[in-house]
Amino acid sequence: MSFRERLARDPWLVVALVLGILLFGLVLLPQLWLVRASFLEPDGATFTLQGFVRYLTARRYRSALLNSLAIGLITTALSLIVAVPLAFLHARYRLPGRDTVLTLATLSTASPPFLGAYAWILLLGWNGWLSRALREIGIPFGSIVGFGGICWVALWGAAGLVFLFAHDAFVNVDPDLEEAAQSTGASRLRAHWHIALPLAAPGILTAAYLTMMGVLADFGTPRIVGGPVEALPVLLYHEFLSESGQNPTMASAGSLLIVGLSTALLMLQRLVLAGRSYAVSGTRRPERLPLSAGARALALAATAAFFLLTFTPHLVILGSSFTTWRADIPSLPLTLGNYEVLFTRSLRPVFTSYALSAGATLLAVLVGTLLAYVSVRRSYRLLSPGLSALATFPYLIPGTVLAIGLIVAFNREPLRLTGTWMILLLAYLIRKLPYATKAAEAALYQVHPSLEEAAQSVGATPGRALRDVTARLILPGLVTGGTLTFLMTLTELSATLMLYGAATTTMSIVIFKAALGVGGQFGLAASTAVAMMVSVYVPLFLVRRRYTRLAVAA
Amino acid sequence: MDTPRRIPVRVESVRKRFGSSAALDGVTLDFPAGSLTTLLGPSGCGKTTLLRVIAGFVTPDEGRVFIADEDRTATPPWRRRIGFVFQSYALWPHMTVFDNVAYGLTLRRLPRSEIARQVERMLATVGLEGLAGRAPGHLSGGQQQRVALARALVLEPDVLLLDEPLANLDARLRAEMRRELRGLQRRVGITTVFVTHDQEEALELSDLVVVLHQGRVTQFGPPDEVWQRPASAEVAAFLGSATVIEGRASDRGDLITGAGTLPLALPPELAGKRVRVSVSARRYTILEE
Repeated sequence: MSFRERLARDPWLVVALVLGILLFGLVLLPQLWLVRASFLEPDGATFTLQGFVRYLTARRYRSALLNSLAIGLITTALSLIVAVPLAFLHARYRLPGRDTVLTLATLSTASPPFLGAYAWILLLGWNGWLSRALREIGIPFGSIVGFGGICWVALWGAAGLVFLFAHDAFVNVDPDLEEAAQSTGASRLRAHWHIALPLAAPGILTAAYLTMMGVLADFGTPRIVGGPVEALPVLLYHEFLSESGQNPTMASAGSLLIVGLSTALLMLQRLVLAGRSYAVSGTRRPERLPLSAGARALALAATAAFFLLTFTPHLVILGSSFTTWRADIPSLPLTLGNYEVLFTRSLRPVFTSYALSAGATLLAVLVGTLLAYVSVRRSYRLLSPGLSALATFPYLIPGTVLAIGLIVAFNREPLRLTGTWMILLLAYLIRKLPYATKAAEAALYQVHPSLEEAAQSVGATPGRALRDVTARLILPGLVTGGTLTFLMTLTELSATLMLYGAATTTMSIVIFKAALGVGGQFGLAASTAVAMMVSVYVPLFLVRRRYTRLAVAA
Repeated sequence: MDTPRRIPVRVESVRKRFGSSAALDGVTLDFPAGSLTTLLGPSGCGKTTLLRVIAGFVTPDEGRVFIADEDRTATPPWRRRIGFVFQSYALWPHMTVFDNVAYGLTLRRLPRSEIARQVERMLATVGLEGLAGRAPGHLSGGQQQRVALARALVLEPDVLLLDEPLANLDARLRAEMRRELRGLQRRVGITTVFVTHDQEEALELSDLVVVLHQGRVTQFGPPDEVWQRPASAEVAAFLGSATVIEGRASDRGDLITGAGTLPLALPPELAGKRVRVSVSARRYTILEE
């Protein structure tokens, strides 16, 4: 059969080809431009390797690279230490309020890192409430700003996710296996250590990987809390945008380094998990064991402290939105004035965020569903795996790098998009495409192909069968996936910051500026931050059960 | 349905490869009008592929499919006038029993009252009166099976194709459904092709049995003949009803083996030759001379 005939017979082949071209242009091409720019001197003509060499030799670049790696490793290690034992206790021992604990952990994962950074600065920055209070009672506390501060903020941003994954992993260990160990003479603790922990390891490792990836790509936290300490995404931002020392070579080379690091991490994760995914999900769930009164009190105190710290940002932001701001210091008396300003004069960023996120979400769900259909239901030899790889690739690209790529690729005719709302829409679409695609794939896997064939056997054309059967059945999954895509887009900062213009200022930009102590609209930023949290948490609470499953399945 | 339309089905030199392995390797078969034919064989023998070729879900690399003496090789499934019952039943979970059965009629744009009349009648035929409003998820396996049958038969297709439809039922229900299916098929008079790997099922149900092995037809005939005279060692082994013994035929027609002599009354012309003989409880069959 000739290619032409195949195209005419199989409309999905046309869809796959169009998607291939679209994804190549949007995802791969900008990255290829970065590769090109990284090997050229800033003059854009001379070949050079200096871009990469200087990340190893020049002090500022090398330390940014090392900072990022160190922050990632330390935060990941700390979040495992903090969250895994607690998750184990809740999974295996009789403690009250497990549903509440799981809901809290779920909700904590939706908060964007920069919101946490902003709140912790309000609390423990140079002029933070707690910092000043500490100084007043004679404790010489300066501020949280610096390397340790980044780790601290990132830790409490990631701990909820690690808790969720570890809890899920421990709950799924077949209790027979531990009882078998005890029957051969192992003590209960020994059985925990030798059986439950290794069997739960794949889930915990996945959480560690996700934490590491998140921290490496995060721009907001190191920018807000880092002070003089530069992490790689922050350095890239400065290299690319600063008025004085703009250096596209260094920005491009750094971008590739960070994408390379993410890719290496992904490979490492795959390698470690290969052959380790035990089918541990037995028919029986572990019986939860009793705890002594003392141990129980201790466990509950630890749980309370854990969630107090995880939700500190939320409490601080909520509280500060009702205070009167004098310059960048929230003070008494309590007031509703910040909300008045938000609702009477400054709703535009809220609208902008909503409009861009809704548009990008609709596009991402549409493109993601088509991609999922091609990869789940069609087996084109090159196109199916190729599209799948292209659709997941943006997951490895930090927002800062994605934005640099888009600027480099789309700042020339005929596609001069820089400075328009379209480039923001594109950036959001590309960033969240992996999630939308994953959600659609998960929904499609639930629908057996024979359901569609059955419709064809009673006379439905393929298009009709798709519409009446498959589309109807995956709709709930798409709604959940779309909701989550919308929430993640609503809180996007790193790409937004590089791509926004005066007319496209989003909620995240208003909050970020206040967090840096510039712009002067501190009260407004506080009420905007509350608006953002409400926008995230109300829908998330409604879809939370599906969300947990989706997050763990990803 | 009242006056059974008797429609023959024929596949001719059908070949299909998946990657490097041949799923069907030159299959030619005539399914007589109104007959029930079982495709029997171990998993991977090509029986489901053959069924899906007849349905049009799989396009053969070579060969043709005739339904009612009409070449429908290039006709897509939705225009081929087939009824298909899937192993998992493939009932649409978001539609009621009524809507499942009515869907094909709706696509034909029949008036509502006519659709309702036909669905009710069909549900009565398969013994599901009163369950029209249920969701498929709330039915037993046997009931789901009947809905799937009703959904296929209500359109009065030219051929009914069943892909291991009884595999998911428990043993007792399976025997019951088998009899019911057979009765229904006789009454409707529809040409039926039935895939199974269960010998007993094939024996009890079919007018004709096709035994497939590695994409080829190794035997095609009435069940009695297939059981009593397996055409090859593979067929005999698959049916499991026979023992294959190798030996030398004596002048008196006995089979002389390493373990002793069997008095079998072999034909005199085999005297002195090495033969393989398939012995079953009732009779024996000479496989190879």
